[in-house]
Amino acid sequence: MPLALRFTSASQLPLELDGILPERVQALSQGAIEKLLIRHGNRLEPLAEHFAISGSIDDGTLIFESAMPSGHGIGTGMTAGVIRVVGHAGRRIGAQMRGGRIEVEGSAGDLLGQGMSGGRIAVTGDAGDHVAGPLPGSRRGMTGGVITIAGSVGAFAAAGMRRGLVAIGQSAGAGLGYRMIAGTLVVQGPCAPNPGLEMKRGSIVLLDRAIELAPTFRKAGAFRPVFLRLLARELASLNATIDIRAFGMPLDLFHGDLLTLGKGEIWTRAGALASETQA
Amino acid sequence: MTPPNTPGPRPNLVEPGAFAEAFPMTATRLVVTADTPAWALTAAQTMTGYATSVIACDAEAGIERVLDESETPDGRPGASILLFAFSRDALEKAVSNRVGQCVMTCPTTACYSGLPAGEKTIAVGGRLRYFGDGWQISKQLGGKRYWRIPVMDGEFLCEETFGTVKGVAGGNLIFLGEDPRATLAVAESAAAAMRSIPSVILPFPGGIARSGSKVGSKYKALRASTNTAFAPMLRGQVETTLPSSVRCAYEIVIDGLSLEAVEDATRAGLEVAGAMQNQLVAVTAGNYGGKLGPYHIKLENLI
Amino acid sequence: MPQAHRLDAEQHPDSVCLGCGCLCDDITAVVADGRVVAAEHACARGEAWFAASSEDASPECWIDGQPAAIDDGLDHAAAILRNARSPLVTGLDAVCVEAQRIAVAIADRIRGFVDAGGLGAHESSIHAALEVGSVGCTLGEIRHRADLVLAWFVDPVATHPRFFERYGVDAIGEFVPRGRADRRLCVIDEHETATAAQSDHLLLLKRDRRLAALWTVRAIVAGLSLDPHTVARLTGVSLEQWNTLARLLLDARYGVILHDAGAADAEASIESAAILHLVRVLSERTRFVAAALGSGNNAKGAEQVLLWSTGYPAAVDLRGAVPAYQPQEATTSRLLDRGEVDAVLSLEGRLALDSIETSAGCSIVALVEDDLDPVPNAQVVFRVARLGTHAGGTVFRSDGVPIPARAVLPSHAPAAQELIALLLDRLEHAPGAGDA
Ligand code: SF4
Repeated sequence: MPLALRFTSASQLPLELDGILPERVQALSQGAIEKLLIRHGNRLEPLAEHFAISGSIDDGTLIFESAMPSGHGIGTGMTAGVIRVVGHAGRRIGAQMRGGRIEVEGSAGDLLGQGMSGGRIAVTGDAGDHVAGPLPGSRRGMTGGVITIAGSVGAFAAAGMRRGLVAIGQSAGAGLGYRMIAGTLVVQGPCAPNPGLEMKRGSIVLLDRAIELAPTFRKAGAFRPVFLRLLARELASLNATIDIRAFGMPLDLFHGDLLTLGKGEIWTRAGALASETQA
Repeated sequence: MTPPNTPGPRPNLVEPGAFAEAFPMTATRLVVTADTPAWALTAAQTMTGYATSVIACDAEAGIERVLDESETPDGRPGASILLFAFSRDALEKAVSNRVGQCVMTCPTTACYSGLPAGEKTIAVGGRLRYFGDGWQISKQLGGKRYWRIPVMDGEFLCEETFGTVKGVAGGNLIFLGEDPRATLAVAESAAAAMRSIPSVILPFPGGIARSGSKVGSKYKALRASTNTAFAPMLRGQVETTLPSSVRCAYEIVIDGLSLEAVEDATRAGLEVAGAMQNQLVAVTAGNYGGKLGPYHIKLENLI
Repeated sequence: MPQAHRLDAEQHPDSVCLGCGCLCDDITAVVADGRVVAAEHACARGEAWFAASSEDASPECWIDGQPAAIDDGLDHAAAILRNARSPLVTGLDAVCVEAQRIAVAIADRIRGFVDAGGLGAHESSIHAALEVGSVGCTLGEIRHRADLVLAWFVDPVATHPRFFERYGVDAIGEFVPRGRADRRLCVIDEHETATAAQSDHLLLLKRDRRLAALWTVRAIVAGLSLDPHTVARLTGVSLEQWNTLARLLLDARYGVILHDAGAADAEASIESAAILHLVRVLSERTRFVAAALGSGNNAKGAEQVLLWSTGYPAAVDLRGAVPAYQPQEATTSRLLDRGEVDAVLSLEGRLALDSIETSAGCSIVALVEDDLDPVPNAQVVFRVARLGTHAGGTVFRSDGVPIPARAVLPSHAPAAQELIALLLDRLEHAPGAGDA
């Protein structure tokens, strides 16, 4: 049976839920769980003041049963177990996550998977800015794990990403893959012009039919390497909302950003660039 | 093809007390894939060449089985290969040399570990990546790391590390007969039956060895020399173990990922021998007196 | 511009004009009849700025829209801030450094967020400098050394009228003895601006092509070969023209890129970083710097005060035990848009006005400098003396040089620093102060 937390508070002020993890509450009695302190604005208050708590965590699953856009930091630093969020949730979901699984049945705020190094996040709705981005003051974004988002994302998705896999089912905003260091990023829908600026390494697969790349990306040709087959199979096994039929034919390969190492690759559908650089 | 079964082997077909003396060896399984079954098989055959015995080869290797599209990591036709060597270091070197020279060079191929990456692994892609001269790309997918090495038909993809296990090598059966052609026919049928057992390979040509060896030689440089006791033409000149009617002996050597697999394969071989017993004088197995190898596979126990 | 002054006029030499980011400190303000009647050396914009100095007649405090005594206002404001669970102190860029440091102390006291300003301007250039590092200079260095000025989507002739005269293109400098004749002016903009009319080299570029253009120039300077068709398609300007521009930049002995502080959106922050990168790659071959023009406010001061008092330049969260930097969360516009604060102390009345739609359920304490109608959505409004005419205080120029602004007119209203010092005192000493 999972442990269920129902948001009962009328407050819209920021609620920091970073300590409420399956691995932490596992050892606690119901009473002790109710007394766990969370930060509400500038004060620390017991969990029970904002949530009705029921069930137990014997199956390792913790459920936030209601939408709470002002609840931030869900699953911060999580290492094991499952957190399910039913409805929209706030920022920093899965920040610094190292293992386990977070399922958001709704949309996530900004900074999803910020500084994440392992584990799995699945979002059925949209996500805000800075998906898989770095912690403040760091240049290095996500360093491991998998994020799948069925909907769209805001700006700077996978900026500074270092390792891992991010799959976006719909569109992506500006700054996609900006300063990406490595890792794999797949976007099914439209993306703002100039993805992958200053990327060093890493692979971005853009499956929309109209893509605009900076002049510092150069075309290598159309290919269908084994790696793309493995990626397609991985996406399928993750139930990512990516149409993997596109992987059944050669994709155009562009290398860049030539201003910064240039070992990154952007794969697009054949002919997705309005006009192409010479092979 | 196993001939129609006859009612049980005759007494003394299996030499009383005969046992195969087998050794632990570090083993791994590779999965090689390619765009077509033919290229996958070509790569597999090439990379398992010259790998009959660690007496003079870097490893013992063979094709375990051909794989169809549904059985491989990338959904292409392939083959699984087993390799055995005396140490993990020796195995790592042998596998990466062989994959580098025989799989990477072969059109359209890719190469994966066929064993889970447990505690003990060997680096393969992790060594071959340097062929990429700085242009190799590392990719992590599904918890595994792959190296993508640019080559002339695109890129060669190879998993970074391969799982290893303590395998069992040196299981064997020796078929003794009067008529060389009939004896070989039995050995061929036995090899075919044994090959269908999972997790084993028969590293010798066609699975069958005719030059069984003994430890040591009158020549100091040689570690092994012809097994004079099993060489029928030396009868009268040296001590022989062959019954007087025997004019020909063929040996099938079995390497497997576990003792059970080697025993299963030995049993499959004995079943064929029993079925074709009228073409044989006896079945025995090679050993070194039981002092060297920890595994004693007693043939009588397997009937 | 010589003018005939009335005999009873009072002259204030070395007055500072806050009309734009130039912060000209060579103005002689002429005061008669309780107002500035002339501003010698000022441009038309500066004269207008001085002339807008108020009558200083309206009440000094309102509570819920009704005139009130400052004391009552302070009590009311302190109660609001003390009881807030998620307060924000913002609008720091509207006041002098002396007031800014007290504002940070208030934010610390009430354990809230503190941020420079409301519009998010400046935000992207702060990020860019943090991420890329910046090669900067004082405006004096530009005056004395720059032989090439690239105006990147800025029009200083219109917005900073004396910039060229004092710091840039027209000034005689130590190493540019012939002034304008020794300097080249390149302009990249989408229209033929006033600055463009004075340029030696003009490239017209659509606004949404800025990133493609910056990448093109960076690539050329870095020695990469580019495909001419791609460049022309992406920038609307031929590769040849970009090559010419790059040669001009590289031929400079000392070049400067003038840009604005940047907006808060993703593209603007990439653009700001790219300008700094361009300066960096140019600096490998010659001397190059970037200079943000800045505005007449004290955004640079806010950045400095926040840095030296909290360790971070903007968007600081002081709710927890140690200051936290939350540039992607705790900026004024984001906090207000998301309704995540329940009380705002805004040192800039305009901000309080602008946030009217998002302030439901949020109590506002605002400082205003002029005779604005009482800020309608604020619970408590204090009128403070206008910085630069009625109150003195230190303002940082965009290049980080502190400029002391002086009062040239008397004021009934307290200076911002005086008012919020009283507020801090209330928070520290009024009943219940210790139990937040
Ligand atoms: S240039 Fe700017 S600061 Fe100087 S006088 Fe004109 S408006 Fe004032």
